[in-house]
Amino acid sequence: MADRMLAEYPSEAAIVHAIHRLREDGYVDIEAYMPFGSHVVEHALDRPRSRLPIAIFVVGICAALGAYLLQWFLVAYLYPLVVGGRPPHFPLAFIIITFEMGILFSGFAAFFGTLGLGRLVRLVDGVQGTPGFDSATRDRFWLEVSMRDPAFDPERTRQVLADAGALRVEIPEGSP
Amino acid sequence: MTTRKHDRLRVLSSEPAEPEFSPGVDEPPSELDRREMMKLLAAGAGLAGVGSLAGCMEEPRERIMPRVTNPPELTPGVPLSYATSMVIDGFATGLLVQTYEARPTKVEGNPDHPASLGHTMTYHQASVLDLYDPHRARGPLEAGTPTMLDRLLRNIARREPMTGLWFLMHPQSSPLLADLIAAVRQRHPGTRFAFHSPLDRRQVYEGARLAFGRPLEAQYRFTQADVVVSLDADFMGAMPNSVRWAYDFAQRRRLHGPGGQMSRLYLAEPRPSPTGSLADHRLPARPSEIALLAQALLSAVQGATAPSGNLTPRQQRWVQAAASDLGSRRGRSLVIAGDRQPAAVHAAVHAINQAIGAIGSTVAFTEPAILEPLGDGLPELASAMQSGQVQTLVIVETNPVYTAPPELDFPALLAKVPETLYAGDMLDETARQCQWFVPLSHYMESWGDARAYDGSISLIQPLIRRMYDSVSVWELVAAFAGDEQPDGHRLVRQRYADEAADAGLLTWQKHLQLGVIPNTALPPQQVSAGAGAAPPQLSGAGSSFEVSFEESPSVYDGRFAANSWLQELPKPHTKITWGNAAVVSPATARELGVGNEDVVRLVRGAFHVDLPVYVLPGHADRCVTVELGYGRSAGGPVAEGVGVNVYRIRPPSPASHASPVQVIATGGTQRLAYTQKVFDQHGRDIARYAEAAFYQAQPQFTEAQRGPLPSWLPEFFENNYQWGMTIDTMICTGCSSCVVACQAENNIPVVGKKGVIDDREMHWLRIDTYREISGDDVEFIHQPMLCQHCEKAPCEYVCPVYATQHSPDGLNEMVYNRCIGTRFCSNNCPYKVRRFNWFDYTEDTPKTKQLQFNPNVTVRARGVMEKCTFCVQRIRAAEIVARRERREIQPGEVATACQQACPTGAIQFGLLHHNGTNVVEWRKEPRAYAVLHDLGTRPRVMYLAKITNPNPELDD
Amino acid sequence: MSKALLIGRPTDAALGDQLLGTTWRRGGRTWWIVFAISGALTLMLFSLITYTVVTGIGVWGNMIPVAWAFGIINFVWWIGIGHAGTFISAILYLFEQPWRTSINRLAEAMTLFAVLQAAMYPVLHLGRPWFGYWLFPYPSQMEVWPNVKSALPWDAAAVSTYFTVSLLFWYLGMIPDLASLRDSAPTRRRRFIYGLFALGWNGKATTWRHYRAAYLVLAGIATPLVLSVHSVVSSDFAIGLTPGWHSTIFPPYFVAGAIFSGFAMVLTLLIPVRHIFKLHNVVTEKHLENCAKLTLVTGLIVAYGYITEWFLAWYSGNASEIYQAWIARPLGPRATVFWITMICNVLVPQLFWWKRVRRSVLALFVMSLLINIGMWGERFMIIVQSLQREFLPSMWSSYAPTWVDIGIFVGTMGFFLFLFLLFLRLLPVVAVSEMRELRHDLERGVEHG
Repeated sequence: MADRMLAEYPSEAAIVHAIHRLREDGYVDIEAYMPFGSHVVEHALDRPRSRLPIAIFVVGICAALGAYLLQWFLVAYLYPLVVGGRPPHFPLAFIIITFEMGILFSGFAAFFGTLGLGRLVRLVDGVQGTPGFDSATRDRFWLEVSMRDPAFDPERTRQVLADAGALRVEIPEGSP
Repeated sequence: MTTRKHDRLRVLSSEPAEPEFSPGVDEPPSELDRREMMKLLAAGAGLAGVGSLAGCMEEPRERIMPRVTNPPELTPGVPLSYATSMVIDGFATGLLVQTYEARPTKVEGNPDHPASLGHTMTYHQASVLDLYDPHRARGPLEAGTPTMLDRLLRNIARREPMTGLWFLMHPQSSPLLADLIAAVRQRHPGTRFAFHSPLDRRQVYEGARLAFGRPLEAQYRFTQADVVVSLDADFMGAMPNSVRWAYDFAQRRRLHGPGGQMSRLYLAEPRPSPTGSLADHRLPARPSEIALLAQALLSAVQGATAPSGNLTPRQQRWVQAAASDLGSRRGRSLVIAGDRQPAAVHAAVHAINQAIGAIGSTVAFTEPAILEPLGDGLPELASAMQSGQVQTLVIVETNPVYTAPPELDFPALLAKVPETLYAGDMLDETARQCQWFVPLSHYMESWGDARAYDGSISLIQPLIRRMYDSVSVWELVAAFAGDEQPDGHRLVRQRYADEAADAGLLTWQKHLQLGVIPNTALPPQQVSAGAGAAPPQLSGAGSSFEVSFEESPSVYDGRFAANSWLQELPKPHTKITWGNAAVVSPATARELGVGNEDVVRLVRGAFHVDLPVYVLPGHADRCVTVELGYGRSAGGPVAEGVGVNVYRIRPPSPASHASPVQVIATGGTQRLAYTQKVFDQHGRDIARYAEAAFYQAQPQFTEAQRGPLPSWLPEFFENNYQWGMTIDTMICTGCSSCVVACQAENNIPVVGKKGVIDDREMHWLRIDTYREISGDDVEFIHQPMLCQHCEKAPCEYVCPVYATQHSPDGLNEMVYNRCIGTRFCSNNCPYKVRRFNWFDYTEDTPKTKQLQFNPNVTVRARGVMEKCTFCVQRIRAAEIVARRERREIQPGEVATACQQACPTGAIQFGLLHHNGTNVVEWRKEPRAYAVLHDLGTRPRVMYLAKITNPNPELDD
Repeated sequence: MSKALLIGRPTDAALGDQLLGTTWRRGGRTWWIVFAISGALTLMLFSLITYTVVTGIGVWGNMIPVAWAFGIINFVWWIGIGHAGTFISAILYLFEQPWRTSINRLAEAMTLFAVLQAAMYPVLHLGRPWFGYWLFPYPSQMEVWPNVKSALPWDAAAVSTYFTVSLLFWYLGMIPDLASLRDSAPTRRRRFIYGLFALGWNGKATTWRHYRAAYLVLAGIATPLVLSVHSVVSSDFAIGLTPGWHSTIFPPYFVAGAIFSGFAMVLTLLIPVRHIFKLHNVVTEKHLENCAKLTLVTGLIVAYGYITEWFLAWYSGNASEIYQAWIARPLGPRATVFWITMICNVLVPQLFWWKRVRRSVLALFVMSLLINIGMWGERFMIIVQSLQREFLPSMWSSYAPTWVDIGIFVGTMGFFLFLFLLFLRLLPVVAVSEMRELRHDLERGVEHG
């Protein structure tokens, strides 16, 4: 059953204009689809900054600490063998693997964090399949208004979107 | 007998995999074949010693005496060593052979034997490999078809008295054989025995006869000699008593402190020899010039003011200095001539020794240990064959078809003989042309006896039951004497029945345990070189090219050519393996316009050979040295086709050298496989050396290369239970006995000629030789190089998997099954002592060869690094014994294989807190130093700088 | 300069069609021929690897003293080449160099494939490759662990991290383009396949927000990573005693060398691709010139590295070091390689001082090839020539490769080309969405940097 309304706009400028219109009309639950990461649009939507980097940082630090501890445990604690007269606990030598592991796991965090927060790795998202929506990854900008938005009214909203210069307004079928 | 037959059949049937006759008998083996065979003989596959050959793991039937005095029952895994003797050209060297479950694995010297004193030469060390050679003949042949040994011997024994019966064998010293020979002569009147070796010493006895009227053997006492003058005598490397003499000489030579006394050695020789590398005044001289020098030296010591002419100024100075030194140390000096020198030179040398009062003090004379020293030889036999007097010819061991001078055309002569029988260990060149063939037992399979150089009677007892259907020399000769079932043990017991009788059986057992019958050395004779017997005028030296024939330090006269350990042994000065070369001096090379590996043709009359050149500084000019014993056309895949057979241009007499000879550069080239390519230190102070005077003036000249270095790394090894090694380079002759010993002890594979050319030899211990060239003089410094067991080992910290690490007692340990083969350790080893298994060198080791493996040393698989372990298996074994006996390891309890073999005792090993032992005291000497000390690796091996003692008068 | 970066004013649609079009275009005859050749070489590579593993590492030319040779040379060479990609996509991204946009995708692909080649060698050159995993601290009953004091586990960590992070970076950057491909796919099958890899991307602003944050962070961590990797590789040598290895200049010297060779390889690949796919409007001369400039800079650093080596060798006063730097390399065995290296790495880049050279596509191409050769020579010089002449003259020797060595090296080139051709066929060569962004920025006249 339908739960949102989509409108197609020809350009960055047009969708930004539309977003402003809607916000003036008190719409809050709006979303945009765009062929490239336009910070202009994002700015218009006025969303908080992503917290992903903090998560990545934490993961990275933990990984690095873990790596150092592992090295110390294996080489200095479990088997303090004499090689080349080096001391068993040898920070100088441990530092590199510590660093690399930090990087490696930050990388994982960044990648999988994006997939998770972006709700990716899925085949159905409720907007795909909307007639003409393919253009969203090509050169068109689509604006989404949730029907749960208090300000939503099928007729008026459609009107507002159209007035804002929408090329077409669609209601996607079979949303999840 | 039936049991033995039974055993034999099992022996023959036990290895269907291997043909009864060595492959390649018919066609020369291709390179690949040889490489394969190399792998076969190369040390071996995993289960050392597990693979067993039915019938040869048992004790001999006869009771043999283990060396140990506690009960001789075999304890599996606990080795026993038995005394026996190895005979080369008649002279016995006493050995102790280590056996595991009656399986000989390792040869050591017999400390109670006068010719060994516990040390050995390369040949002795390697002889155990011959025992297990899968290509040994396995049964008698009649015209190429197998036959039964018992029947053959019985038929021989039952023969009617024969006429025209001749024997040809190596020189012999066995008292038992003497009796048997007499018996044969009695049974077959007119039988003649010709004793022949390609390295005959006939001229030595001839010389003695010239001087004293009868053949005598000179017994040198190097321990008493302050000055030694050697005329082409490699008395520490290539003479019958070299093992003993090397030790004696080193005793007088080794310097204990800066102020100490050391002997002085003058030496003239064509090409640098092991002895030559210790000479204080080494005079390169062509073989023919030796005679002149002898002459000049004689007249000089006899007080002739004007030195005889036709000597170069350098030679004259050398003679003068030597003469004055000899004269000023009457009774504490001696002169020695090389065996191969003509009789006249020996006579002259005796006269010199007489003149300088050496005879009776530093030189004594005894009857020769050799039977019939001036009896029949090859020439007599040849002429008899020529004139058709030889009806039956029995050739034992010696291989005349290969070694006889080309003039004789021995094969043709052989064809004239109606009946020929050959006894040898392999189907070699001569065997191919004889009617009958009888396999000869290895000495570790035989009962017998022989005399040492000084005459002491040495006993030979078998360590293992006969592997194949073979006889010993004694048994064969006994058969001809009519013994239908010759039995070595019986023969020996009969021969020594009287000793056993009057002294009792226990004494006989004691003798067997000792391996030598005490007090049987031949008594010194009262002699004097009669002035009447003035040496005849010596022929002068021409200026034309000479070719000097030397025995190979690896394969001797060719009889060891089937031994892959010896084939791959780098030669002391050239480091050539797997072949021989035409060795010339740099000047001669320039004159000929050739360099290393350029092929030259040596032409003597109608005969010629082509060899690759090797340029060796310190070699005599206008002289080419070639080594005998290569280019075998038969005698096992290992021997065949390696190097060039120079017997083809060797003259009948003098056999020592050929002149005139044409030397022609053919323009071709031929690869030589040498293990060291650069002999110059590039001023890096790696192998230190100094003259005695300098050492006295500045004892601390190696100070910068020892002692602590600043390091921010923590100190390990605080405990005082640490192993270390000290090597004195001033008494290292480079003879390489240690290298073979290491190979035998540690199951080290050989890699073949291509492997060596590719720099993939596997020796854990190598001898680096550096040549310090100043004008005409070349100083040779031999530096045995093995794992230095660095306290701060660079190899260890780069191994990603801890495959090499340090033990608490200071050993740098290699964990083979942890190694993944990154080879980083080798890159980071400044001494480059690590070896890598590039291929699986051990997978195809034949069962027989596997029997030789030391069960206490892991056999390495493909792809792992390996290196010297300080013979850790010996250390741990000793520790186990010590722990069981609740005591500390005693000084001298652990000896590494290399240390044990070293004739001069240059290598010392032990615990660093055992004060008073050589290993500790030596490294306290001021001339001690560590190689590449400045790298801070803290090696556990310390070297002592080489000190020479030149004559101050003779500063050239 | 903005003009130079993007010629003309294509619409988003036009840009998309042009850049994605490369994927839909059918391969021409030449493409198939080259593809077949590279495929054959790849086959040869894997058969030779099998031969080596079955017979033993002895089939290579390595020996004592030169226990490392082709294996490690090629490892370092490939990993060096693998540096430009991340450098361009990460470091230039942080420095907001807009010109990187049109070449980063290609450079990153090159990086991945190069690192893949490199990663094969350390395992192959082992005496017992089947135990290569012992370098990692996997839980084992033997309770034996890697020795992290050795440089090789560092290597393993650095290289595997580098490969993984580069892969993630590359893939993340490609997701929006994959979505575009999905939505413009001509057939259902392709739509489905690309759809799978697009992970359901639909260009939602929220996703873009996290995406851009993550991309920035990845760029941020990839920057120290790319610098660390070759420093670690250099420590394989620098922690050793070997004269010619034991030097503190190695890390910067190696990193510079890596980026130097990397940019050379970028040029080697970019120039033909640009020609074949008619990308002159996207990949302009400006891009090539910038690559040339960076090559020149890094080339100068490399040259400085050489000079430092010679100076320090002399300054150390160590006989072995002096001999190594001043005699063994220029005059000793295989000295030809030394001279080729000097010409290709020191003299050739100097031509980039001239604008005409920097602007001449042909010259750039030829010189980039020469630099690739030169950088291979440098590694040969460092590894083989050093080992040939170490402390003890008694163990001096000279090295020669076997046919297997050469075969495997050529094989990796084939394999690299093979993968790269597949990339050209199946994936967008240029980051389309980023190009769109760039285009809009340019339109808005926003200048970066």
